[in-house]
Amino acid sequence: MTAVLQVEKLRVYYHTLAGPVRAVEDVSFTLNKGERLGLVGESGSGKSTMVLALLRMLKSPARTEAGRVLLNGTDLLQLSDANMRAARFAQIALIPQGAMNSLNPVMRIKNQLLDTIRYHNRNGRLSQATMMAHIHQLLESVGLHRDVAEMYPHELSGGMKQRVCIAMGISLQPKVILADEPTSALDVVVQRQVMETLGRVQEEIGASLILVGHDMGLMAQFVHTIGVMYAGKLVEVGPVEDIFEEPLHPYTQLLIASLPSLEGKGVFKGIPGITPSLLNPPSGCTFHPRCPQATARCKAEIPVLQEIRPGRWVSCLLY
Amino acid sequence: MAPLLEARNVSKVFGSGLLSRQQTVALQAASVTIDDDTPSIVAIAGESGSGKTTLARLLLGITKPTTGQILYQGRDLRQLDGPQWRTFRREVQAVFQDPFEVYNPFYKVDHALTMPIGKFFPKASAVETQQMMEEALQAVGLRPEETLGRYPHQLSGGQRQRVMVARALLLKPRIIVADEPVSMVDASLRATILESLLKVHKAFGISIVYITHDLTTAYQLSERILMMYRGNIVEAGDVDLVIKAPQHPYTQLLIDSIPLPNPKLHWGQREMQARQSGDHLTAASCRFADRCPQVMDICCQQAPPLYQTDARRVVSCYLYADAPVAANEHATVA
Repeated sequence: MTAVLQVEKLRVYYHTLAGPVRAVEDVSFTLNKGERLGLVGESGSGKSTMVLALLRMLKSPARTEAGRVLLNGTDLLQLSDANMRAARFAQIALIPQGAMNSLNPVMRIKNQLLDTIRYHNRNGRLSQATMMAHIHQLLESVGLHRDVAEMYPHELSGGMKQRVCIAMGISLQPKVILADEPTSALDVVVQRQVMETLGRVQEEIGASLILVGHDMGLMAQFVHTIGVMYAGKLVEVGPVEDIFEEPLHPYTQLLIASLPSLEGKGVFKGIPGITPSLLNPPSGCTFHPRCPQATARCKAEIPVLQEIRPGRWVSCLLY
Repeated sequence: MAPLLEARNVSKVFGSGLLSRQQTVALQAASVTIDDDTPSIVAIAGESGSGKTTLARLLLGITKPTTGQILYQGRDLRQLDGPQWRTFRREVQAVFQDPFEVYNPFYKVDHALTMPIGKFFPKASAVETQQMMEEALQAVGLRPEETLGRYPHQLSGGQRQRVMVARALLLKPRIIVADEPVSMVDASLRATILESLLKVHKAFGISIVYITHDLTTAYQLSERILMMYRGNIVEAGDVDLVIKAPQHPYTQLLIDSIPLPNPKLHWGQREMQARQSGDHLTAASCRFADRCPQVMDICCQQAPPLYQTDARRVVSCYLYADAPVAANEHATVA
């Protein structure tokens, strides 16, 4: 197992007038070649912020305060702006949330795909014909007809637009693909098709993938490893089967219990309480106000993410 | 007693008229009834493009049907006078899917709550208004002190959506039409929001029309379900029958594609076909014919009627042509 991406103690704060909002707090994890990591967490847990931080696409008042992001040994956070631009999409690519809304409505699909390719082809080695052939191949690899290249986004269905965004993400065969909720608001049938496409192209180009989302069902079907985020911290990491069979962190346990199932009618097990303020986080463990297993120690001590068994990491004073 | 809210054989066609060359039939001959005496929860489920949002908008009186009628307490919406329309507007509330679009970004979110209070409870004092807002927010799990006074862009999508549900609850309506209220919201929050809808239904007798593409939550929340595909109701009835023992090939496909939160049970045992181009298909054919694994010749010639395969279920599929044709437009009532 070779590590492709190593994130070490990443910290991202939003500097607001009221003070720093700790959106991502000391997050560390490793992504191996070919691996699919699912990052789950409530909205506001820091998942999307972290994805943007990895790509250095954060906007003020967000700022990466500390940490390293090693992509095949190179720290992305230390690269010059020019080198980072070269790395984006060529080494590490993004399939953004709400992908259907991120296409330019007045540009044909082919021009949007060409945009990325042209930037990375500034020395003009590839001819127009070669680039167009590449685009047709790309579209076919995501299950779209090559005629889609001539269309405008409004002529495509939601699932087709999503697949165009996948095509954009893989167009330069990056080593790491970051997919931020690529199928939210798509219906299950299209979702399955889109995810199967994504999985297939990921394997074809030998990339690693981080899937950010909150659909545990989708994670169960798609990823190898799950990382659970809460209030900006990684609270549990482990292989997907283990997480479902034996969730260790109380938050993970509640999360899995809250999943809707076709077994129980009228039973809704939401997680009690409200997501914590990241401006004034609770003392000690940020989850203690909502944790059914909290003790006095949890209010005072901050737990650390520890590998308590090979491959299983938990950040909880119970362990 | 007349049903509370009823769609009677409604169709909606977009793009009709002299200059529009292409017409889109968004909805065809759909009927759904919400009873007046017993509050109920009915789910309307389907893919995007199935017509479920169009049906919701018709029920809310936001759009007018091309043919057919929408009736509130037995009266056609088009014939309601001023006060009757106001009553309709107060008693039938909506929660929409996109927590980004529904807000006017120039106003703080308080505005979304104070406006309906001002309109329907004009005599409420400032203290009463504040109290109503706080109660409604707490009912959906939001902290009033961290929500009120903020602009929409300062809240997360999940928070914005919950404010919208709070808004719907404020007026203590008789029906809430929720169009995909939790599809853009987290799994753990979904449970909380849906639970508050269920609580409100039980505590105040509010009927709920839950429009969704998520069959699991539809199963958990509702008693009845209408499955829609490309503008037609393909299967409808008791939710336990339709979801646990689906009869229409499309329902079967959908249920098979649900990603189960169990890594050992792989989704999609069933073969899926992308839509084929159908030269043999016409506007009269069954709308699922080009994707149906069990398609027959008759399906391409004419769309099937709704067959009553069970006292509490109807299916629109020739596979069940042995069953009696569903008696009337109210066939989609359990």
